[in-house]
Formats: sequence, C-alpha cells, structure tokens
Amino acid sequence: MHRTRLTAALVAALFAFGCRTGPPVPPEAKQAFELELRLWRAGASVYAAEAYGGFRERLKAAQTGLERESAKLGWFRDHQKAGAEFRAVLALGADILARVEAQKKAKADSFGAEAEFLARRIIELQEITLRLNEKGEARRSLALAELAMAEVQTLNDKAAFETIPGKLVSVRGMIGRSEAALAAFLERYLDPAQVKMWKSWVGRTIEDSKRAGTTAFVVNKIERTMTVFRAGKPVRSFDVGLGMNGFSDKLHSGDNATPEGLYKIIKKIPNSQFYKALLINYPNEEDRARFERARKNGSLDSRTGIGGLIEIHGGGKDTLTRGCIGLEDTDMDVVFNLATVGTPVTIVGALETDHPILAAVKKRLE
Amino acid sequence: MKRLMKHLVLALTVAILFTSCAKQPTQELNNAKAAIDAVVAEKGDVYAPDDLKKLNDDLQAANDEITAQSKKFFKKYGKAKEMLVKLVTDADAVKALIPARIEEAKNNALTAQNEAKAAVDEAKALLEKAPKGKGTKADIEAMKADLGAAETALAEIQTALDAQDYFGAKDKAVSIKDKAAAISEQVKQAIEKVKGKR
Repeated sequence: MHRTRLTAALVAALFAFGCRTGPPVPPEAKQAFELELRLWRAGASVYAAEAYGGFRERLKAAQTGLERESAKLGWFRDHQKAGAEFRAVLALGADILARVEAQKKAKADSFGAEAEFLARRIIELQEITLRLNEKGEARRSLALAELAMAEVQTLNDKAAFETIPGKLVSVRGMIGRSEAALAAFLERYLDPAQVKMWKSWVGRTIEDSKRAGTTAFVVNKIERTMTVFRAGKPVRSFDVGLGMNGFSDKLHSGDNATPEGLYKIIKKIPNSQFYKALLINYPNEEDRARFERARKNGSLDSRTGIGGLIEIHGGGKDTLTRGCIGLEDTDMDVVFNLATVGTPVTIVGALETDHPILAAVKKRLE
Repeated sequence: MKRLMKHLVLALTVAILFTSCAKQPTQELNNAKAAIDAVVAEKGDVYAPDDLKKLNDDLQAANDEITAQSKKFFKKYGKAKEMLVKLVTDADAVKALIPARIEEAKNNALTAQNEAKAAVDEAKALLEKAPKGKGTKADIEAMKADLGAAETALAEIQTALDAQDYFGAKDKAVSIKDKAAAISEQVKQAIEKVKGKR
C-alpha cells in the first residue's frame, strides 16, 4: 500500500515538474546572433573593434544566462531576465551598427571626394586631348585611368575600402603620365620665347593690315580659330579644324602637321574636293631652310619631301586634315569672298602662355 | 578511527582522480586549429568568409569552455571535446565547399573576360567602318586611342586570372566591357552624324 502511494507521488511529481516545457526561448536570442553576424559582415571588427568586442562579451553572457535558465525544470524556468538581456544586447548592437555604417559612409565620402576630384581631372584632360587631337600616351593613360576609376567605383560599392587607396594612387600615376605627355606635346606652346615670337608675327600682320588697309587672316592653333582682320581690326572669327598632327609645325610631307609662319594666299579654288579652298604658299623660304637643316643633320630621310598643297578649305571644322585648315562650308563662303590672291595668312601656335588649355596642362596633380 | 582514516584516504584518492586526471583536450584543440588553418589555406577568407567566421567563433566557444572547466574543482572536458570534434567536421565540410566556389568565381571571371573581349572586338569592327584619314572626325581618332588602351587592359584580366584573383579579374573585365560598349555607342552615333551630313 505504502509502495503504491510512493509510485503515485513519483508519477505526479514527474507530470508536475517534468512534463511542463516552460516558456519558449525569447526570439531576441536568435535576432541577437543574427545581428552579431551582420555586425561582423559590416566590418564592426575593423570600424568599432572595442565596442564590437564588448557586444560579443555581452551576447555571450546573455547566452550563458539563457542556457542556465533552460537547464532548470520547466516549472522554475523564467526567460524574462534573459529576454531583457538579449533586448539590451540588440539595442547595443543596433547602436554599433549605426556607428559602423556612419564610419563607412564617412570613409566612402572621403574616397568619393578624392575619386570625384580625379574623375574631374580625367574629364578635363580628355577634353584637352580631344581638342589637341593627342591620341598617344596622354590619351591612352587617361583611358586606363578611367578604367581604374570604374574599378574604384565597384570597390566602393562593395565597401572594399582597404584596396581603394592603392587603386587611387595608381589612378593618380596614370593621370600624372598623361599630364607629362601633354606637357611634352605642348612644349613649344609653354615656352615664353616661342609665344613671344608668334605674337611678333601676329603684331606685324596686324600692323601691315592697318597700314595698307587690307584684309589678313590669323590662325591661332590653340584657340582653333581664324580671325579676319581688316585695316588692322578684327572683323570676323571662325572656328577651324587642323591637321591630324595639327599642333606640330609642319616640316615634311606626310607629317599631317599644320605649318606655322607668315604665308599668303596664292590661289583661290572655287570647286574643291572640300567645298571651296584657298591655297597658301607653304613651303615658304623659312620652311625650306628649316627642312634643309633637318635633312643635313640627319633628322630627316633624304627621300622625304617637304610637302605642299596646304589650303584653307571647307568640309567642316571638326574634321581632321593632313595639315590644312578646315572650316564649316558656310564660314568658307564668307572667307572665300573676303580673300584675294596675296591675302596674308599668319599661322601661330598661341598668343598667350596662360591660355586656359596651357594653364590646365601646367596645373599638375603632383 | 582507523575506519575513518580509510574513508578519508579513499575520498582523497577519488577527488585527486577527478581533479587531476581530467586532461585538457589539447590534441582535439590542435586538430581543430589545424582544420581551420586548412580552410584559411584554401582561401576560405575569400570564398567562405561567413563559414570561416563561424568556425572561429566555435573555436572561441570551445576555448571558453576549456577555460571555464579548468577553473572548476571537478573538471569535465567532455563538452569541449565534443565541440572540438564537431568543429573539425564542420571545418572539413567548409574546406570541401571552397573548390566549387573558386570554380564558380573563376567561371564568372572567364565569362566576364570573354564578354569584355567580345565588346572590344565589336567596338574595333565598328571603328573600322568609321571614316579614315583626311576628313576623319577628331572624336573617332580619340575613340581609337581609348579602345587601344582598353585592349591593352585586357591583358590585365589575364594577369589577375593567373594570380587567381577571380573577383579582381571580373571587376576589371566589367569595366573594360562597359568602356568598349560606350565606345561602340559613340562610334554608331558618330557614323550616323557623318551620314547625316552627306
């Protein structure tokens, strides 16, 4: 009888203490661990190492508390304290995450400012190379810099900030190479003595036009303009295109350079392949002398000719020529009517050393 | 008295057995560390960063358990051992996943490389159709120079592939492809412009 009672009491105790499952684990526990992973992915161990370490410690303590509580029999289990602790952990984590995101944004912004500055410089130099028709090292380096900048953007999007500074250094290097190539390309334009000489040619042309009351054309290569002077006064100005290698001074046939010097119109061609044309007297005496010097010193092959047939013609100002000066057909109509055989045509590189293009080239990154 | 002494000696022996003979799972710990090192050696930090983090967290938890037990009078390292053995299994599983992920990244990079090459070829073909020589537009000449640079940069994709930097190779390929596609679009517009003028 006594044994039966004992068994009944044991069964009742088992039901009372053993079968009660107790309260569920607070959902904040799972959320806290997910947040921990988010923090790690966001780079909390890098951007907020100490706070992240503290968060992990607190998370561990909360988990230990939860495990301790879970080990109790269902009737005595109470997850309220653990739940509150996990909520506190979640709040702490959310605060750290916000700080990490803010730091990353600040970092991205700082790279962004640098990247934006470099991107603007690339565009500025690309426009210059396009205007100068420089398609060598300067343009090539800019294209490579542009590709590298696209990679910087991708890295920024991925928040892979550690590799960005190295990339930006390499972009700076590419831009630097482009700047150096452009400076070499425009060496004569950046030389004050050369610009002074060009100015003296133009001064003489204007003076002659004024004295004789005649028309004269002045082509400014860096400006890519042709100005018509009448009686020493500028009356019209037209945008022009130059040779494929137009910013160099023509030395020989096939160099695609536009000659620089004091020329005059020797023939008017009303029906040209390029609408209408005005033939100038390239090569003049100075061109011939320079050509001979180049042949003598061996810088020119003996079979190379001096070239000729340099014209002011129609066909468009944005076309590339073999050394001629190209105008829009409508502008060519005006110029053709203003010109006579003998009209002076003075072609110079630049009239100022601080021209915006030259200033932009001088403004080096380093 | 004699009997009490006997019991005391017995209790002491049992206590010593419990406290001193429970050895730390050094071998299991070393095995777990070696398994994680093997994951790192397989570039787990690149191709399985989340998994690697979990392994390191689990190792830390096992270490914490060992430390906690070492401070107790009655040391029980059974749980730590279990954790470490599981960790080795998990690490081996992660390690086994990595080759497939590398292969996937490599294939993605190779696909991007082919697309970049195709985009460059398309732009080149279009530039061939563009006017040449006298009368050529300056922007077409500039585009040729740009495309030349993009073509040079194609070699950098291969360099990255050779260095097994598949993500880097893909990023490079995508930037080249985008540049070549932009050139193609500009060439088409330039050709249309020229046609319109005739």
